[in-house]
Amino acid sequence: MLFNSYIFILLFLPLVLIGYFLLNHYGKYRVAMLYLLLMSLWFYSYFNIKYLILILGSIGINYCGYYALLKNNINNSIRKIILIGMIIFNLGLLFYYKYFNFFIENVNTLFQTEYALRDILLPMGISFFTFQQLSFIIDSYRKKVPQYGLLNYAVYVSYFPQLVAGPIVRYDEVLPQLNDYNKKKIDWDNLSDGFVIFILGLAKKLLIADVFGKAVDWGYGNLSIISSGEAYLIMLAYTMQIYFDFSGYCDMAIGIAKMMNIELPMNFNSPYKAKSIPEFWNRWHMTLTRFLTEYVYIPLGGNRKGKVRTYVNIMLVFLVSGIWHGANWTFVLWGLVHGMGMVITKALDDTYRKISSTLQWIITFAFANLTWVLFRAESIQDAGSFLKKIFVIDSMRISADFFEVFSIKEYEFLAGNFFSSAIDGGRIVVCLLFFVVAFYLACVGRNTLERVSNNKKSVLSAGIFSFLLIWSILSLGTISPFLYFNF
Amino acid sequence: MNTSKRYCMCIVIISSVVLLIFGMINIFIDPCFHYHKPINGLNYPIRMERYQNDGIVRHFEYDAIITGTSMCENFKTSELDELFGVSSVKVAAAGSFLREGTELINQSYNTNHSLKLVIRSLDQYALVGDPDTWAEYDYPYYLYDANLVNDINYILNKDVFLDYTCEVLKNTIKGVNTTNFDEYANWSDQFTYGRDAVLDSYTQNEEMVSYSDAGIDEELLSRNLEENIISMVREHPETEFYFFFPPYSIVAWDSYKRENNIEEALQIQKYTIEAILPYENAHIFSFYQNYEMICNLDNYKDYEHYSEDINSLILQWMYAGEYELTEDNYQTYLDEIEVFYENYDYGSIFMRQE
Repeated sequence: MLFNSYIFILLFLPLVLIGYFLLNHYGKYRVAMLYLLLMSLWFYSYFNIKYLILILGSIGINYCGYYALLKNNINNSIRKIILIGMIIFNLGLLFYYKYFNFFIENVNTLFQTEYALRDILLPMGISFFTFQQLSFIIDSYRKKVPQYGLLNYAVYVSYFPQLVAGPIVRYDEVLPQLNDYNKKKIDWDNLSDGFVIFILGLAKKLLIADVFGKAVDWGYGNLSIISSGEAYLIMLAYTMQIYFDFSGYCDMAIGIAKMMNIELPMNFNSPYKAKSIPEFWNRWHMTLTRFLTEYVYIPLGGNRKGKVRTYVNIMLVFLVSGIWHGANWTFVLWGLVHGMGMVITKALDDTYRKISSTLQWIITFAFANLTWVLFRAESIQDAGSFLKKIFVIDSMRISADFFEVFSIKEYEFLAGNFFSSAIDGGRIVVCLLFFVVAFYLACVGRNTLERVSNNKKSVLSAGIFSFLLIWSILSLGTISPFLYFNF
Repeated sequence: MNTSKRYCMCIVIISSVVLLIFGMINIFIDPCFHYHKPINGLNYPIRMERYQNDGIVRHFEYDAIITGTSMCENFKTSELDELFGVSSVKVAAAGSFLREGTELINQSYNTNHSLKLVIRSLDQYALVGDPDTWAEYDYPYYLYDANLVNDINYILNKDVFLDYTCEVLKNTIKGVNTTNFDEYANWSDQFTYGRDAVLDSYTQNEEMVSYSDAGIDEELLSRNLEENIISMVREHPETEFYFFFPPYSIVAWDSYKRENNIEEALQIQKYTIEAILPYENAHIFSFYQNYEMICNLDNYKDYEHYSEDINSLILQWMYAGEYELTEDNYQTYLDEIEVFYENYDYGSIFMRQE
């Protein structure tokens, strides 16, 4: 299921909230957890019942491994074997569903073989719940995790707000909260804050990200005919789209959980305000950075083994990150380029810090924009074609087609009915407005969580959020692609 | 009451009320005729085939249907009505395969319409296409089923509201009449016709339909004909079915000739004709012996699509029984057109005129 759908907003979410709080109200705590589990499983398998089998299997096997690691009387080598086995199992599953065909394609290219690709359906969220379970099993090996029953573990993995696209949650973040009796009754402050956060996330996705998305799809689908000017706008549009889309989704996740009194970790903290690449990664997809730091960077030695080794470790971490993001060389390259950016920044260190703040910001923002091209393009060649238009300027002319693709239904409606002669000119204004507003919201203004903590809950504010909710729901009619969905 | 609780309730209540009103407006006006036929006194725009065809067949009053592809979009129901003494609707769907037309006609029968007459184009690509397939398009599936729950996609839909519902109100206020079926989907006067227009849009190596070396898939064609054409003819002896092969231009035959596909094109026709002929209430027409029309590119805007004048002629011929294929004449027809189109001087089409 998707957060941005009629069934989720009008049926699922009310059912979950009502059921969860009602059961808790009558003291049926375990039943409430079971209810949460079943609803989460329904959420997950809504698109395909096969997903259900996969996740139950994965939960089951991981729990067995965890259970074994809990026992005190097992010697260390066996514990190690169990850990390695579980890591292999989880990564193996991920490899099969996500990377098998990519692997075969490359083997074929390299060795001139013709191994057949398989018809493999990529299950939603597999990258996320794989990492989530890995963090759990590794922490269990490290004897950090207390004893939890299967129900608790299953809920930890499948908890629907964060199941499909994160935040990647640690065992000590969600489970203690779910078991906290004080959090089992409705807290209207949390409910209203969570609701507002959800609405903001929904609006960010539907009313902003999707608008940019149309232009981006058009641009990348017409690489041969777009001008340099259009390429610049499309590059910026994607930078905005991916931020509003992914952070919007995370807002929705955080908002929903908050309505249930569960605090999920923040995943975005105005990343486009970052003044350096390392800072960017402390603000973008924060829980992924955290995961990679804790379970890859530090085990590799982190920064404790000298400068060169530190840089190597950083590159390795970003290599993993690139691969994790997708089964395509574009993602690997994207990861490596970011890794290099990190390394160079750290190597320059003081020199970099002496640059003016503004210049630092420009460098970082430009770097993000350019590297997102690698992320979005379907192939290295496409990325190359696109970047060529950025660096080798042919024409700065923006075609009428671009403005038409960009235009929104609301504007077309008003223009068509009230000032039909100025449609083209108006479209340019609308486009400009979108970029300006998006830029302001992403790079200057307060982010969702900051806004909500300052929310004065006035009648006006209720009106505004009602409007955003209504308009977002009405915009569900057309299907919009969700970016981080293939993870 | 706690401020937060009041705040939350406020948002929920305002949103619910507005959405409810919004939904009810859409249901009441129902621009896609999903629930009821047009309301007397309101003027409806009819211009989105896949959104409105299903509603039209279910709720409008008529006793004849024209359906098919873009080859049917320029038919004028007023002409059909006058010739045959019927009251018809036109529900064509550009680029559609046979299943889509079949479903529309079935819906008509299912909603207690007695059909005196059905006119359908039998496009070549559709005949050899998959019998179950629909076109590659994001169909508003919720408008095609009886499931009321998924209608939320229709009712709480900003695009439906802004594009259709509001236009109903606008048209009514401005006095713009409900689109009639002559105008519905008619694109005839939006294009230029003639040799230049046709050749501009034609690349000589254009693949029309690529056949495997094994020729046409007879089993598939047979199933297609049975499921989408014949079974309906058989089940409804009270309806007269008029089928026709859309008369593509000579340039289309040029591409067949180049791809060595004339024999296959004729085989498809033969199969189809032979499947239809046994039924008294079914008629099949082909205009490929009207060489003058086929070779006159002023009738066409591209290598396949003809103007509404041709559509009018087709109706007249159907009424008069001209160009109808029968047991007696169909084999001669096939032989004759094979000779003509195999031996035509296609080069002359592309040579500059003096």
